[in-house]
Amino acid sequence: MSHSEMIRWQVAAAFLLWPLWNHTLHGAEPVNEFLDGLRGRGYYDLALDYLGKIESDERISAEVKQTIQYEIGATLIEASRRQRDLARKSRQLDRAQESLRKFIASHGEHPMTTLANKQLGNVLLERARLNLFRARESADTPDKKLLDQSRTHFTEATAVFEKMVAELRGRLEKMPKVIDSDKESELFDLRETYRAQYVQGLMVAATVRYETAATFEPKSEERKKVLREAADAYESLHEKYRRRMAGLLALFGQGQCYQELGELDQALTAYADIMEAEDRPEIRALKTKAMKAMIQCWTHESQGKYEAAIKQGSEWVKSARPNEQRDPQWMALRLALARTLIAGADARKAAKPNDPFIKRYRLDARAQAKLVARYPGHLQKEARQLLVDLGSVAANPDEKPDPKTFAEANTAGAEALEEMQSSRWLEKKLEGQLNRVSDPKKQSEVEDQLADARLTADERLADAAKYFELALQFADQEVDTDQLSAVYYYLSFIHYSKGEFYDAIVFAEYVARRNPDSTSARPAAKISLASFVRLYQSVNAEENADSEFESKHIQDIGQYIAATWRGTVEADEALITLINISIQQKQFDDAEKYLEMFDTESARRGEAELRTGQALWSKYLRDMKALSERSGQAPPPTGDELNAEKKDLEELKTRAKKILADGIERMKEGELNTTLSSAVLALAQILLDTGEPELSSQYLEDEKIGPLRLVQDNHSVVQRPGFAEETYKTALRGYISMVPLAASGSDRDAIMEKAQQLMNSLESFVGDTPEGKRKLVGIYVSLARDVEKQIKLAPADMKNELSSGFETFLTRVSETTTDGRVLNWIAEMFFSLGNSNDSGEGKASEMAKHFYQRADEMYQKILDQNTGDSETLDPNLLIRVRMRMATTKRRMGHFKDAIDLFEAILKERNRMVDVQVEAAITYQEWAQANKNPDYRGAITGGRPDPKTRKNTIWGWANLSRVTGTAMTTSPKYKDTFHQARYNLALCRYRHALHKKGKDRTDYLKRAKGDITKTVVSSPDWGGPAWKSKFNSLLKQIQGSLGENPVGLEARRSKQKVSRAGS
Amino acid sequence: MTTKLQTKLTTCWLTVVALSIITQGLARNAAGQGFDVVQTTKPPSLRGEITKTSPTELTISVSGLERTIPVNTIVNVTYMDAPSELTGARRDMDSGNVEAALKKLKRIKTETLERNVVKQEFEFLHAMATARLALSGSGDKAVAVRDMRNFQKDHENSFRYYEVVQVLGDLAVALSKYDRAIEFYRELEQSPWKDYQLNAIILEANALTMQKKYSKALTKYVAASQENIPGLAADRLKVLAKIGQATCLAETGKPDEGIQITDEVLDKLDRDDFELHAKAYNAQGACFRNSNKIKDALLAYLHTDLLYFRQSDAHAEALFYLSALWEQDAKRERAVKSRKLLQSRYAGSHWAQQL
Repeated sequence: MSHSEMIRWQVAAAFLLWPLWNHTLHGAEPVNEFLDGLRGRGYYDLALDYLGKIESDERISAEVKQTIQYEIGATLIEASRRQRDLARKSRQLDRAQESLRKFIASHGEHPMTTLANKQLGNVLLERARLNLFRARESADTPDKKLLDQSRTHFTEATAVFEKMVAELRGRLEKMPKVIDSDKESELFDLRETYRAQYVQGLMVAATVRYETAATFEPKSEERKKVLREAADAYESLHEKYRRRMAGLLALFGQGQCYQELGELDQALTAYADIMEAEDRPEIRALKTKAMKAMIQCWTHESQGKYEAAIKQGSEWVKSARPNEQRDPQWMALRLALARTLIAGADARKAAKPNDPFIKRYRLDARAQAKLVARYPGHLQKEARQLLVDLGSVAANPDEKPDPKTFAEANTAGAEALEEMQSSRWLEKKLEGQLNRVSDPKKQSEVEDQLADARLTADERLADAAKYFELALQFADQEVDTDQLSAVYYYLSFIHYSKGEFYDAIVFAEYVARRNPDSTSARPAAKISLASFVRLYQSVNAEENADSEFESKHIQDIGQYIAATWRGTVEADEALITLINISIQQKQFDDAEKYLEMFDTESARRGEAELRTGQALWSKYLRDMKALSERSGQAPPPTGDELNAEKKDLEELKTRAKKILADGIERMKEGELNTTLSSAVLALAQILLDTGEPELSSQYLEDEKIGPLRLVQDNHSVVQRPGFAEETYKTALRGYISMVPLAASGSDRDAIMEKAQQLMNSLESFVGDTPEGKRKLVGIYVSLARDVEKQIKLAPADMKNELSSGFETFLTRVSETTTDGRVLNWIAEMFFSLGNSNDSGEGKASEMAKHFYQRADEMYQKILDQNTGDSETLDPNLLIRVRMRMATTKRRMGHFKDAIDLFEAILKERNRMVDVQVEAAITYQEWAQANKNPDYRGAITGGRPDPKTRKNTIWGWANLSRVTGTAMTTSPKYKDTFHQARYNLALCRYRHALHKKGKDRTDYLKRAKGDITKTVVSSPDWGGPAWKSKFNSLLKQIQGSLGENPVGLEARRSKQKVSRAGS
Repeated sequence: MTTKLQTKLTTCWLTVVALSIITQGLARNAAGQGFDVVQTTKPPSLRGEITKTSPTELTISVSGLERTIPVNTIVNVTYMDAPSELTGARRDMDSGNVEAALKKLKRIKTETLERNVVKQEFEFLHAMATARLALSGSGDKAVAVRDMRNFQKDHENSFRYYEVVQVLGDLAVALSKYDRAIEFYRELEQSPWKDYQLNAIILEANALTMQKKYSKALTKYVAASQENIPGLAADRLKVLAKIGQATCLAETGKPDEGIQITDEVLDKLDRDDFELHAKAYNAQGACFRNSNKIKDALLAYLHTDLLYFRQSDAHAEALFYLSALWEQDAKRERAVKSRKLLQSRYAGSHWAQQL
C-alpha cells in the first residue's frame, strides 16, 4: 500500500468509525477543521459523505447546519477542478449550483451569502471553461453551440462578480473613511476584508472578460472588441493599484490581451514593466510568467527574434534560486526556452550550416529539457518527448551510428534494454536510500540522482523501442524465427512498461500463439495475460464498468497458457489469475474448474485451493443469509424450493470444506502467509457449522498454523483489521459447542476453563480503554448472534444440546463477573437463545420462555446495579437494557409489565421510534392473546400524559403519521412507515372481525383505507415484499366486505378507468 | 487495393520469394552461359532465347526448338544480357523495397540495353515501381498512370500486358475513378485464364467496396469465393474474396457473420502471408467497429499497424480507423499519433484524404 493510499485508508476508516466516536465526543465537533482536512487531501467524496451525515446529527449546532449547503457547493466546485472526466465534472457543477442556490434562498441574510454568490460565479466560470474546452476539443472545427453556451456562462459569471463588486462598494461607502485600527480593530479588519474582496472581484471580472474572448473566432472583430475591453479593465486596475501586487497582475493580464490581439510590442512593454518591478518572491513568480510570455512574443513568426529570446530567457533562468528549481512556472519557462534554443539552432543552421552555436544551443536545450523531465508534473512528458526529438547525438558525439541491418538494430535494442534495466535497478536502490537518509542536503542529492536514473531509464526504454522497431523494418526471410520472436517479445515488454497494453498484447500474442516453441513464447504469453489483467483492473475502477472484453480475453489467453505449457510456472500462474478473476466475478464453478486443471503436484495448487475454498465459503455464507432473508419475506419460498436450495448450499459447504482441508494440508509445511491463516480460520468456521467443534478447535489451536495461536503470539500474518476478533469469536463458539459433547463433568470443566482463559485473553487483547470495552461488547453481541444462528440452523436434537451447553457456559460466566457490560452480554445471549427457540408468532415455547426468564433476571440484575448514584453504565445502554427487558416480558406473556416498562422509557424519551414500535407490537400481541381482543391500544396507543392528555405510547396510527413525514427527508424511516401502515390495517381488520353490523363494516372500510391510502405517501409500496403483504391483507379485507378479493388490482383498474375518462 | 499480381496469379508469397531466389541464382548462371531463363509453375525452367511475346504467351527457342509458354504459368524471367542492376531491381521489387529498386534502375544506362525484351523489362519495372510508390500514397499517381499507359501503348505485345491492365485499374481506384477502374478489371476478366478472371472479379468487388456499394460487392465476393477453380493461386484468391465478403457483411448490418468468417480465415492462413493477414485483420476490425465493440476493433486494427505495417494500403486503412477508435476510447494522444503517421507516411492515399 502506498503512502497516499495508507493516508486515504486511514481517513476513510476514521470516517467510518465516526458514528462510534460520536459517543465519546465532548464539546463541539470541529466540522470546519475536519472538512478542510478532507478537502485539503483531495478526499472530496468523503467530505460530501461527512456533510450528508452531520445534517441529521443532533449534536451538530444549528449554526453549522445552516452552512451545510454552502459547504457542499464549495466542496463540489473544488472537486470539479480536479476532475478529468468531463461528464462527471459537469454533474458536479450542476450539484454545486443547486446547493449554493438552496443556501442563498434559505439564508439570504447569512454573512456567508457574499461568498456563496462568489462560489456561484465560480460555478458559472468553471462551466464556461468546461464548455470552451469541449468546444475546442475537436481541433478542426470548434462546436459553435458549445461556444455560445460557454459565452453565456461567462456573461452570467461576469454579472455575478459585478453584482458582488457593487455590493462590496456599497458596503465600503457606508463605512467611515477613517477607522482607528487600535480602538475599532474589528471594524478595521472588516473594512480590510471588504477591500481585498473588492479588488479581487474587479480582477476576476476583468479575467472573465479576457477569457470570454476565446469564445469568438480567432481573428473576429468580436474577439478583438472583448480583448480591448478586458485590456481597459486591467489598465484601470493597474492605474489604481500600481504599487500593489494586484496592479502587477493587472499589467500581466493587459499584456496577455495585447499578445492575443497581435500587438506584440505593446505586450512586450507591459511584460518588461513587470520585469522591472522589485525582486520579492511573489513577484519573481509573476516575472517568470512574464518572461515566458516575452519569449512567446519574440519567437512569434512576425518577430523571429530568437537571439533576444535566448539571451534574455537564459539570463533569467540563470537567476533561479534553489527553492525555485521545481516550481511549475520555472519548469514551463525552461521548456519554452528549450524550444526557443532549438528554433534558434535551426535558424542558424539555415543561415550557416557550420555555425558553432548550433551545437551549443542544442546542448543548452537538452540541459533545460532534462531538468524539466526530471520531476513529475504535467510538463514531464512533453520534456521527455523533446529529449527524444533532440536525440542523444547532440549530447554524446561518440554515440554509435544508426543501425543498418536487422542484427545491428537488434543488438542496439538489447543493449538499450539492458541499460534501461540497470537504471531501473539503480532507481530502486536510490529509492531505498532515500527512505533511510534524514539529512535534507543529502536527501536532495539522492532525489536528484533518482530523477536522473528515472530519466535515463525512460530514455533508454524509448531507444530500445526505436531500435527494435527498426529491426522489424529490416527483418526479411533470412532472419531466424526465434530471433524475430525475441524482438516481438521485447517490444511487447516495452509497450507493457509504458502502459500501452493493447500494443503489448498484439506483439505478445503473436509470439505466444505463432511460435509457442520459441524461448520467448512463455514470457510473452505472460505479458499478454498481465496486460489484459491491467486493462481489466482499470475498467473495473470506473463507474458502471463493462469488463466483458477484458475478462473474455483473460480467460482466452489464460486457458491457452494453461493448456500449452501445462505444469510450468507460467501455466500455474495463469490458473491462479483465472481463479482470482472467476472469484471476483462470482463465477465459482469456473474457479473450481480451473482448480481441477492444476497438476496434483503443482507447488501453486495449495494456494489455489485456499483461495477457491475461501471464496466458496464466503458464497455459502452470503447465500445462506439471502435464503434466510427470503424465508422471512412474502412470498416465502415453498418447502421444495427451500429444501433444494438448502441441499445445494450443503453441497457447496462440503466442497468448500474439502478444498480448504486439501489446500491447508498442502500448504501447512510451507511459509506462513495471510492466505493460509485466513483459510484455516474459514475451515474452523465450516467445521463449527458441520458439528465438528473439536476438529475446529484443533485447527484454531494448531502450533504452527492455528489462527488462535498466531493471534495470541501477535504474529505479523494476522495483523489485519477484524481477524483477531473473528478468531476469538470462532474459538469461543467452538468451546460453547463442545460443552454438550463433553463425555464427563471433568471434561466439561476443562472446556469451561479454556473458555474462561480465552475470554481473559480477549479482554486483554481489546484493552481496558472505553474503546476496548465497547469493542468487547460488540464481539460478544456478534458472537451471540452467531450462536443464535447456529442453534436455529442446527438439527432438532442438536438444538437442545447446544442451547443447554450455551446456558451452562453463560451461567458459569455470569457467576464470575459483576461487570455491567459482560452481564449485558450474557442477558443478550439468553435473549438470543430465547429467540432461537421462538418462532416469534403466538405463544412462545416453554424452552423459549425459560431463556427469556433467564434474560429477564439478568436485565434486572443490571438495572439493580445501576440505580441512582451507582449508575455506571452508559445511559443509552441502560435504555436499551430496559427496552430488551420489556420485550422479554412481552414474549413471556407479561404484557402489562412490558407496557409499564415501555411507558417509563417513553416518558423520558417520547420520540424514540424503535421503542414506540415495540410498544405498539406489545399492545397488538396483548390483544391477540385475549379471547375477546381489543386492538384499540395498538391502533391509537395508550397511557395518556395527565398534563397534555396525549398518549405516551403512540400506537400504529400515530407512528405511521410521524414516520410518513420523517421519511420524506430521511429514507431510514421508510421501512418503519410501511410496518406501521400494515399493522394499522391488520389491527383494524382483526378488531372488525370481533364486531358486528355497522361497527364491523366501518372498521373493515377503515382498514381498507389504511392500505389504499398508503400509496399516496409511498408510490412503490415500500418494495415488493411490503407490496405483497399489503396485497394479501387487502384481499382478506375485501373478502370480509363481500367485495371481489382482487387486492391491489382493484386500485389499478380504477386508475385506468379514471385515466380513460379524463 | 493494390495487390501483387505476380503473387496472386502464381502462388503464395513464400513460394514466390523462394523461387525467385533460386531463379536469381540460375540467372547468374544463365548470364554466364548466354541463356534467357523462364521459370514456370511447372519445373524445370526453360533456357534459351526469348524470340516472341504476346499478352498471352511467351516463346523461347530452346536448342533451336520453339517453346510457347502461357503467361499465367510464368513465375520469373531473367535475361542473358540484363545488367546486374536490372536483376537487383527485380529482387527489390519482390521484397517490397520499391525505392531501392528505383535507385538501381536509375543507375542503368538505357543506351546499353540492346535487345528489345530487355528494354521492355526495364521500362516495365520502372513504370511498376513508380506505380507502387503512387499506390502506397507516397508517389505521384498521375505520373504513374502516364508511364503505365505509355508502356501499354509502346509494347502492345508485352507478356506483361495483363499485369499492366491490373495496375492501371488499381491506379484508377486510387484516383477515385472507380468506373474507369472497373473497365480495366473487366478487360482483365477477358483474359483466357480462370484464375485471372477470378482475380478480376475480386478487384471489381474491391472497387465497389471503395464506393461503399457493399451489396453489389458482396454478391461478387460470394460468387468468387464459391468458384470451383483448382490451384494454390485460386485458393488464395478465394480467401481474398472471403475477406472482402466479411467487410461487406460488416457494413451491411451483419458484422457477427463477418467476424465468424475472419476468425475462420485467420485460423487457416499461411503464417507468412502478410498481405492476407493485414487484410483479414482490417476486415475483422470493420466487423467489430460495426458491432460497436471498440476494444476488439482496436486490437484487430493494431495487428495491421504493428505486425503488418509493410502492407501499405492495409496499413493506411488501419491507421485511419485507429485514429477514430482511439478517440472513442478516450486516448486522444494515440489518436493524434495514428493520424500523424497516416498523414506523413501515406499522404497521397485514399485513407489520408478521408481524414
